[in-house]
Amino acid sequence: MTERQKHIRNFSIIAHIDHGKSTLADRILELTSTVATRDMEAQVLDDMDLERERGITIKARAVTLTYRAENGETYEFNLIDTPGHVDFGYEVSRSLNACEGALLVVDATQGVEAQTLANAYLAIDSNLEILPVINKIDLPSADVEKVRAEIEDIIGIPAEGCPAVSAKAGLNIRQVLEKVVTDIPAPAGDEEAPLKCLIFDSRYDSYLGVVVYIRVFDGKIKAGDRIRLMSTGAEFDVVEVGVMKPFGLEKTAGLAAGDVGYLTASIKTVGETQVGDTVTLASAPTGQALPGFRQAHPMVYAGIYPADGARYGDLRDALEKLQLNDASLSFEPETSAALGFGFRCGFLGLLHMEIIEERLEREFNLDLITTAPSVIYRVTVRGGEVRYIDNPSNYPSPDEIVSAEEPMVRASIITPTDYIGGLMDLCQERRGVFVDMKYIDTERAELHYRLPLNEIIYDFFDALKSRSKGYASLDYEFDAYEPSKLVKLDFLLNGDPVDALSFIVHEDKAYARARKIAEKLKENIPRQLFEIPIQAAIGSKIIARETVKAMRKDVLAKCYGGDITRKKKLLEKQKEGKRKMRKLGSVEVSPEAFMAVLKLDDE
Amino acid sequence: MMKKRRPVGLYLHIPFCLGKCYYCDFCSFPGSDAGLRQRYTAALCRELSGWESALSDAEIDTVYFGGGTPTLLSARDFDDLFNCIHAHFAVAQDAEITVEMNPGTADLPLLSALRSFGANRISMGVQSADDRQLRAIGRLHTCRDAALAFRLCREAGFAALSMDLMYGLPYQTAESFRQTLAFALQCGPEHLSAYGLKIEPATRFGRMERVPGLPDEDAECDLYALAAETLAGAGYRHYEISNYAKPGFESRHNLRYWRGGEYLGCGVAAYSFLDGVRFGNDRDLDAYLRGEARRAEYRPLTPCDREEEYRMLRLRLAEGISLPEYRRLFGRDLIAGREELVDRLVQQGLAVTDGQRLRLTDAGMYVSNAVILALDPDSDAGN
Repeated sequence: MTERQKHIRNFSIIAHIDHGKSTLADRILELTSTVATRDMEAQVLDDMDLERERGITIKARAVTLTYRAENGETYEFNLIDTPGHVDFGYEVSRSLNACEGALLVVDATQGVEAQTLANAYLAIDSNLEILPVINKIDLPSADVEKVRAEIEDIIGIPAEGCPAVSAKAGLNIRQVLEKVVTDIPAPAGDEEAPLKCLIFDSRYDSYLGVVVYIRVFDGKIKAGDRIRLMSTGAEFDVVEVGVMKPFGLEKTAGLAAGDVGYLTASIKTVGETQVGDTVTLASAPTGQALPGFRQAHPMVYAGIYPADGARYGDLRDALEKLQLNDASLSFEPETSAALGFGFRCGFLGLLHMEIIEERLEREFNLDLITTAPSVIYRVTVRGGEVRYIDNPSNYPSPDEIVSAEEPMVRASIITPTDYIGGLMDLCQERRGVFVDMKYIDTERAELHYRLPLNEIIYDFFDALKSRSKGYASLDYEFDAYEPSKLVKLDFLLNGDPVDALSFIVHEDKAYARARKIAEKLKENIPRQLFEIPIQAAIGSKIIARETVKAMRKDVLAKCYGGDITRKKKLLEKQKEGKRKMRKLGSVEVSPEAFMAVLKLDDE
Repeated sequence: MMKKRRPVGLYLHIPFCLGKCYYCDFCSFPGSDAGLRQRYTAALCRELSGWESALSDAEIDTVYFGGGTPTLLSARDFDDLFNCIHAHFAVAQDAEITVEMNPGTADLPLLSALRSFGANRISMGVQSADDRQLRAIGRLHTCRDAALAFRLCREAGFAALSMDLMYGLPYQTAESFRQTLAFALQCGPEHLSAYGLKIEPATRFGRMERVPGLPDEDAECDLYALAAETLAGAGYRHYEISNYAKPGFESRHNLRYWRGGEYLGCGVAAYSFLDGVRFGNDRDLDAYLRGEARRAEYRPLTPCDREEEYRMLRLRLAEGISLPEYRRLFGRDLIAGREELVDRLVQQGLAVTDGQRLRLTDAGMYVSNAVILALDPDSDAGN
């Protein structure tokens, strides 16, 4: 280990959502005096508005800090932030792989939660030194000793003497930094060996092209080097390397084994620099890529359409822009008879989907219609061909299907014991298979279930929260495909099928779901001049029906001199509303009504 | 031979009321100050006289004093107004001259004076025969007041009386509305208007989070149907969405609005339609009193406006649209390409047609907005 390496510490902060990860990062930034307090906007590391509002970190970022320790020496801290949600598990694991240690933040009032565990296990899998930090000790309900015991009992790591802090109040933060110096190992790695860097994140910058965030494990890299990305073999000339400072990139002469920094190489899209890939030198490549690389696969698909059909082009541009920074977002054009032109989009999970929708609406000022999310079904048809179906419209007809499979996940739920019964019922209702249950202590338990992913994307998270008064937490990961009795449910208005309303559902759920949606259609389709029959069907079999009665009143009772203009404006407005209507078969429905029907409020 | 003068209606807005009804978004002001009413009368006369030359070729064949509560003016004020009208315009011998009033605001001397000035029609805001409902909408009179006022009008010699009723009121049931209709028939007006209560934003009701006791939409539709049925049975013709009349007693002034005729509106917030232009005064009373009334609107109607208004207004009327006339006026066929829609409307009992005329039934009139939109030749055929 070189002298230089001895003064580097690479670490992450991991935590369950809302346990105070970003606030702790802020305090660390302050104490390393990288950011003067007065200049500091709360939570520098989260640089997207949305993240700041939701208090969660969506995309990992890293920052290089300087810390003068009590032993008199100066250290370079590379703090690598991680996304804090179950949808981004793979990104978290790659960020952790770039580190030697992790601060595991646990809320002193909440204790260990599902994502605390999931993240801790990821860190253990990455062979990281884990430093527990108990946060929010300023709150009256804080119970440091209990949480300390939980960390030791549940996660199985020593927590004796771990810092108990209040990131919000700035209490005991220096202790944390000293622990980083003393407990987290310095990076090893051979500067003279062939270059081996891990890509743990990348983002698109309109001036620099893609900025690739890397951790150098072996060798050295500098501007002018020709690099190769090992998963694709693509080669680029390095334009610039450097480190990330809290307020921007800082160019350096080079990066060497142990360093965390960035490179730019006139790369056009983040899709070319996939997280987890290995960077090496084209002239002297390493023999072996870093382990663990996999392509991020979307798990959840939905159709996204502009509420105003004329804005299709704007939607495409917006998706392209978002994709510049988010390689896990996929989309391709799709046409719906009901909704017109739009895109079939793939997401890592529901949160990812929500974030993309929100960004499209907020940053690009688009009104969207989003179809019900779907998972990818694996269908074997006659002749043995296997099809992956992410869009109900493409689901083969029953007589073509030999077997159908759906993705299953392993889910872990941590809950106060009071809610175990309700949550077990919920999992049962959602076709879950009980695996086991462990008592964490007398008050909390961890439930393990195997659940179909398509049940989880159908409002599972909200149901979980409502049945546990918000206390239960959920983590899940993909397990395997499993044969299932699936059917495609269609809806007909005035006898015409509406493609955008079709979805795939387990046979046992079909009737209840059909009735529910038919009722919602009835509630949300405004009465029109003529009566509208609503039918739900599996194939040609009608399994539920409702009727929207004909309207009886749509009139301006008074219309005299001055009212004529008013009445005309009213008609204009109705006409304008009509223009925005979507034709669902022969029935006109406003985008709002359509969304209301698809809104998943099962509870 | 005398050249035939162009017929024009005259509307005078009298914006004073004793109180503001909770549903009312008309332009009105507290009317207790006699001096203010006099100044307003003077301002009206000024505005009227200004139109003399523009309407030198016109014959005024309907006059309508609307409000507000016009009968808050004194006989003296009315005298001034009538004198002014006759001084500046040619008024037809058989002109229909209507004065709106509310029960309890006109005594026999005033009504007799109006009759002597030439008024021949009274339109009275009765609204309901149920005092609880009247209170719930902020009316200041009772059912008895209405019955009395009605007798006074007859006593003063008015042969054409109209009564306004409302349905969809708080606490109103089919039974209570039946009683209101029975009360009205007992009074025996020649003309009846029945309006559905509409909650407008700029009203006391509109500002309330929820108006208690309102019947739901279906109940309201039933009340509309009840009015249509009851009044038809009593010999009244349902000649417009909200209007019913004994034969020959249709409001000529109001028909003019729906048939696209010309009218001059004077007073605050009054609207006119003259020479193809719709225009109106704004609601600023002070400015009006100073003689500085501003235009709230000035809109020369395009051919497209005219066609649209024609459909929209004619379909309010029981007489409906003459298809040959429509073709002649606008150069295209109203129904061509939408035969299927028209068939469905007929099938569902919303419209009637004999190939020459398209008109809406009672039920069709109550969804006329949707029918008008569906019939718009410039949009896709509706469902």
